[in-house]
Amino acid sequence: MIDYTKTKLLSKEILTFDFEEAQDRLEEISKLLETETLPLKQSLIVFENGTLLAKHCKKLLKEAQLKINDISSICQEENSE
Amino acid sequence: MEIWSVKELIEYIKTVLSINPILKDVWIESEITNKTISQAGHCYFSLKDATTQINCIMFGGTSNKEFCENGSAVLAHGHISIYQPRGTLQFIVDNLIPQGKGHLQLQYNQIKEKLESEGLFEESRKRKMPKFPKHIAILSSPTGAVIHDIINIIKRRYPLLEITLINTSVQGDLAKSDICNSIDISNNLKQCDIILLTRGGGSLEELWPFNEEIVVRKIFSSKKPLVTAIGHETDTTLSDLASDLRAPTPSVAAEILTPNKNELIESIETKISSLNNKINTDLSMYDEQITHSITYLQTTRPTIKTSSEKVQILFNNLLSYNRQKFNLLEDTIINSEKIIQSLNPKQILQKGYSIVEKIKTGEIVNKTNLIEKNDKIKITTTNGKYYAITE
Repeated sequence: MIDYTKTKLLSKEILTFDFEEAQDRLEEISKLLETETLPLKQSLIVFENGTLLAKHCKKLLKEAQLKINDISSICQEENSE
Repeated sequence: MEIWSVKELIEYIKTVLSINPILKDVWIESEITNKTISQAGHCYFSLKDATTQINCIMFGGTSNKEFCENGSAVLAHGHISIYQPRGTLQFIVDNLIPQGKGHLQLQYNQIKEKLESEGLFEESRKRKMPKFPKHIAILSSPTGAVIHDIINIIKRRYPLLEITLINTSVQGDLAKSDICNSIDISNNLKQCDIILLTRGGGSLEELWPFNEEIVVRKIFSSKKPLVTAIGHETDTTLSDLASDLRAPTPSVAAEILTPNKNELIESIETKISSLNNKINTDLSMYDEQITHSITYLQTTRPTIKTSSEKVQILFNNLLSYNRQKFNLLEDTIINSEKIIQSLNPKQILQKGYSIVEKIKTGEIVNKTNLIEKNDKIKITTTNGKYYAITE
């Protein structure tokens, strides 16, 4: 479990997160900021982490292209042969 | 010639009918009409063809009496008898098997009862769908509007979801084995986290593969969460009962399974605002604290000011004191000067006096015996000196 008040997430690390992971972390950070009173230095780290995650989430949603694979079931293939 | 009474004749016919091996074990395929139920719970109806009909009775407690509905095609089993009070022929039915739609309904009920007793439809075993699904396998016919509707909805709502279409027969004889195979394929797709088994609306016969026991059991044993959306809202197949989630229609399934992209973006923007507000609040708080500290420091300055004022006052007092002292001294000096002035011998000369000095000794001659004859003297007046010799 990452302590978002002390660990600054790296941009390149965030880029590897899928939407669910980034969204979960963002949710965690939002709750942390709502419930905890943090020293300024830690608040700034949390803020930076949250902002980067939020931007990543938005980017994923806005740039997503639907990927469709098409396969036939074995039975159909057998029957058509 | 033998003459019978009505009763004797009817009783004879009844006996003949009861011992006739054909008439005591009869199957009739026909359609039910004129159904009524007596107070005793017996069911009276007729079985009819295009031109002929026969009165029938099903006594209370006979199995499958629920399929006795006007217009239903049935296969009825029973024996032929005669109703003595009226002398009418009747078919006493002891079993009724629905045909066509009714037949399927009976099978449906039987399979349902069996699988239900085995716990295949237990609500407690149904799994929750992932909140942010990554990969969905859609098992449906590749032709038709259903699949396009689903793809469009997913594209609009949550394009992050990868779709694998598994072309599957959803109608006809091949459907049940095809559906089972497709479920197996989906379960072997590593990334897949939801399976959607779907097709559009159809008759009970068309939807029948989804009531097949083999299909229902396959759905039950799916390792991955499986959603069904079969037909319209009013069609509930046994597959629907066994799946983890039943959507009323294919389109609704696509909606239920995907989060809404726009709502997510909105929620993320709200979070960004919250983050900004929070950090601004924190910064304001610290700013306020610093301002407070500055104000506090400033409020301590009056003490310094007071001290400074005191010093000034003291300095002024000192100055004033010195001034007074100085004035006093000055007065004294002036007075002394005046006194000195008044004591200046030259002042006296103004009044007509002269100062006589003996030149030789420089003595002031203020007595007669100090001077002798031929002494040289200097006489000082206000504006000059005279030198003389005494006689």
